[in-house]
Amino acid sequence: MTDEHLQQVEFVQNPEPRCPVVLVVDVSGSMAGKPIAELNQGLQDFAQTLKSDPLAALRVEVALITFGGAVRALDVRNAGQTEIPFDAQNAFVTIDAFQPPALAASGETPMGEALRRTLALVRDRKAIYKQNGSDYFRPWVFLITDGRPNDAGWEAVPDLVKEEERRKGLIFYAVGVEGADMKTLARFGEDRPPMKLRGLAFREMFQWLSKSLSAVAASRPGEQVSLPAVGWGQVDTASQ
Amino acid sequence: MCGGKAPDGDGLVWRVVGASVQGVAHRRAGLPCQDAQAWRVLGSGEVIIAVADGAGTAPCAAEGARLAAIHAVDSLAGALRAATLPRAGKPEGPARATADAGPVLVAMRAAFGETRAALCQQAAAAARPLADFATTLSCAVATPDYLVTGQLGDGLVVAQGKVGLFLAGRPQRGEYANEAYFLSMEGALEGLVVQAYGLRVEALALSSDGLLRLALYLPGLEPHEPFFLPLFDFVKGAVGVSAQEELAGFLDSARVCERTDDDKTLVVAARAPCGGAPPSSPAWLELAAGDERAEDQRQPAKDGQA
Repeated sequence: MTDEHLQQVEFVQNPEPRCPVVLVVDVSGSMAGKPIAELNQGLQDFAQTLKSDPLAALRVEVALITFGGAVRALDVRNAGQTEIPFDAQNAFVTIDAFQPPALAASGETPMGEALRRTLALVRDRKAIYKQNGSDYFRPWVFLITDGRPNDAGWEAVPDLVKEEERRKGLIFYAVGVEGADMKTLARFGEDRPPMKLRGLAFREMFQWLSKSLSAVAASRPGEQVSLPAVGWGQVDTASQ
Repeated sequence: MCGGKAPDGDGLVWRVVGASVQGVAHRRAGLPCQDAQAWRVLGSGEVIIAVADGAGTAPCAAEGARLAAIHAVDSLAGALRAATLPRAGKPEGPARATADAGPVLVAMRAAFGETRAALCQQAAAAARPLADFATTLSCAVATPDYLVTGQLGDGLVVAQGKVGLFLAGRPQRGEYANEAYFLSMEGALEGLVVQAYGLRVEALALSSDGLLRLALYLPGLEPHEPFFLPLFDFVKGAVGVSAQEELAGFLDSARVCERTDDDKTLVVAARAPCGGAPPSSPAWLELAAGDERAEDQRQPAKDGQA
């Protein structure tokens, strides 16, 4: 008789906790050729690796923001064939539906605007989670650039990013590709110095990112998440 | 009398069943179950329950959780005994707890303070930092007149009274899904939430966060009736060790494990008619006169501990 009662116990269907990541990618002219080709391959690997992790596939959400001439949010449901409204409702996609585009490079480097709008995107996404009753992990913002910002007013942005990190509002990673202005990049982060990519090791970098996100997505309250070792780059202390 | 326990005015006594089961993720990683539970039904008819959840990466989490659950129940039992009054007209009979929740609120705060101090002592004796014993702690005391809960961390307490089902101990959760509060943290006692509900509770359930998403609606944390009501029916008919095994079996069942890979702890209590054989306790338990209690009823074979 008691078994019968336990069989009758029913469970709530709550939404899975979300693990949001915004990839903020420099597609300015200098990235053309081999750099953007390797980066594109890395993006494909990233998608594949995360799709094969059942928990990450349900929990990790990706937004892809590019800056090269213009700042765009790409439609990652649809391999970037269309540009979508740059807002928290549209920009994020769960890994199981993530189709990375093949990026093309041209234009200047409006990094300031890209990051400023990304901060607002992250903030708005959290508001949506709260509305829906979804739990969420601390969002990642992952910046990849080979240059330095040259849009008007970018100088105010490093402090905005720093402040958000200080408030524990997000985790910010900056990766400088060959030619990047590491000294300027170092101004954006509060918790960690920028990483210098080893050559064009985008594939290794994206492997690391997908493993790290898998670890976060599976982590439980109070657990220290151990991130895998960084083989794809090194901490740039020279610019400190 | 009913197995040494005094039935309340309605002739009902508390029946309690509790179990802690290692989660799938811990089994895979070779980690022990880091949840613990302890409970006691006093001869005077009150029930005391504690659930503790050790922090995943803390080396002595399982020990910290066990110590916290046992110590908290001991502390509360001692305080309740000191606060008892003889029953009117029956001075020779078992006492009942004071009708005023005030002393129990104080006792609840004291229990958390004493438990934290005990963890500190344990850490010092082991020459380890306190953080190695990080654990959450949720406690409940129910008398015929009121319910008092104490919460530190993301465990939960759900109670049923005339008002229906309600969340009596609210999980403390950070902004992020992997943030947590532990008794071992600096200033943890300032975050302790103690509450008294001036009503008679008919049934209670305490759980660690492993079952949270199955039992409560997010984000409002409303209890899901079809989760709790069958559990209360189960415990009303519960008999002895087999009931504890059945509950453990439920927690370890495929349909629970596919929804959560965390450790799971559940203690369910309900007032039921006094009648038939009282639940028998495992032989290795030492019982105080008039008390029935159980501590840390894990399945040794399942989590690999002796």
